[in-house]
Amino acid sequence: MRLILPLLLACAWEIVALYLNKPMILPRLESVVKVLLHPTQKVLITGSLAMHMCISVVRVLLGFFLAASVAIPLGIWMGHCRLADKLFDSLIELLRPIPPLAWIPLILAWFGIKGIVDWAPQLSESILLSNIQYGTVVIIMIGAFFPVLLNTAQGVRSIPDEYIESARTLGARRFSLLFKVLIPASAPAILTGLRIGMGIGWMCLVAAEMMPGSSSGLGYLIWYAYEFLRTDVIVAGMIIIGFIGFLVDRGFRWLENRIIWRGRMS
Amino acid sequence: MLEIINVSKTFQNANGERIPAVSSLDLTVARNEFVCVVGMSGCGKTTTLRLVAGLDKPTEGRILVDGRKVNGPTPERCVVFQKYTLFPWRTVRDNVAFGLEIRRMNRQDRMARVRKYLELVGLGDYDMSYPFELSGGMQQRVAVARALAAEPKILLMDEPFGALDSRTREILQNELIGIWCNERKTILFVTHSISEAITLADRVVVMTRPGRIRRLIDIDLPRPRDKNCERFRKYNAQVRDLLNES
Repeated sequence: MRLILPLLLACAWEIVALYLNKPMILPRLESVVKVLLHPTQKVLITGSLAMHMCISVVRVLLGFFLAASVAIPLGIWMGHCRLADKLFDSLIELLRPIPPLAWIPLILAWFGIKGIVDWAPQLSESILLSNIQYGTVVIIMIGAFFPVLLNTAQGVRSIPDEYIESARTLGARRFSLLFKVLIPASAPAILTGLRIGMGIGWMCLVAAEMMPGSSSGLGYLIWYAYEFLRTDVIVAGMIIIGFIGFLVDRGFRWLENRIIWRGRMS
Repeated sequence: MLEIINVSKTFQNANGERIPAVSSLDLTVARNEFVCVVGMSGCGKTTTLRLVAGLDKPTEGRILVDGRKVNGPTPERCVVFQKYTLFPWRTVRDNVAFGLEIRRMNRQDRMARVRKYLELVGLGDYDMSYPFELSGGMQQRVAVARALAAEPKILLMDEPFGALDSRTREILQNELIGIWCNERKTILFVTHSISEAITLADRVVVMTRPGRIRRLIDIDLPRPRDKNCERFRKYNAQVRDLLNES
């Protein structure tokens, strides 16, 4: 059932491609599949599909974890403490509407194309780690940060007072309150924030990889393939980007169902 | 022993005016006494309970428990709220164990104590259930077990049976009396139901706006109390008249 529409789209695409017969405008399905079926072979003169994929995934994970490690604690603090909420609220609401991509020029000015290799030259041996530029990671961080922050803060804010007060009369203080009440109570909201943040981070990644100075990653591959008018590679790259995003979203939903408690707090 | 000495509490409303919630309250509750505070909404009965719990600070006066000043909430004074407050991510067993975990009681003692209090409220077989699987009455029983497991000096109850249907409410009132007789606890119980107060209490505190004690009435009836006996009805009428006067 779920596959009907994607399959119909593939059929329509193949028919149009055959009719047009212009692979530079719309590649045949089979040429895209051919690219996808050889993920370890060199594409054009850059690395293989698998390599670009791994680099992209590592960048996103890094940016995502950095964003989450700031956004979750800050969100809990803002949700729990009214003073912190007031302190940060207007700053966050000013920064939030700026699209992550609008940061690109400024971030290029700040970091150029420096990466973690400049900080630790011994990493240049590794293809994966030598391709992590600060700029890309920061863009992803900005993209993933706000959904995680806002969902976490809202999750903590919406815990009814009686739950926190019950915990306090049972002896919960600072750390026990944080780890035994605030975090588990807001876990569903935090996880939703992480899922949305991951999705946005993934979207920002492709754009960030099109920045000047970038020489790897799925976004780069697409852009590079465009210069050779290899639409089959472009489409293959797009399909992989979509598919990974889909898998990650599914993974988070699975986690939400597995870990998260049932019922509700009144 | 609980002593409330000349306690006042004012809140500020949105216009910055100071609204008295409790004014110059004096009340002494003896050890193992069951005291019910009854009054209409807005009379300051919940505020009084929150002050005793340490969840709010009095504007004036002081509250002493065994001679020591109340300063913030502690497991010495556990609260059972009207709203269901079991943690939905914990099983019944782990909910009851919550306060004991925080106190770092070892697992064996913890489990033994959890079992004892779950059996006391008649839910020994539901230890592995989650709150969403239980009815409202069962959830409140667990909440009572959770509070008792902390072995508080004073059990504070803020309309704990207010959200239950009347039949369940009666059953839980009887169970609470049974527990109180066996466990010998000091209980401060807030309710707006006159008959609930008279059914349960050794002494009923009638409160009226703005946060004053109208009268203290000793309920001199043997338990279990029959709601239809003449003396019960007399007490009922007496309290109703006091509340209507104001």
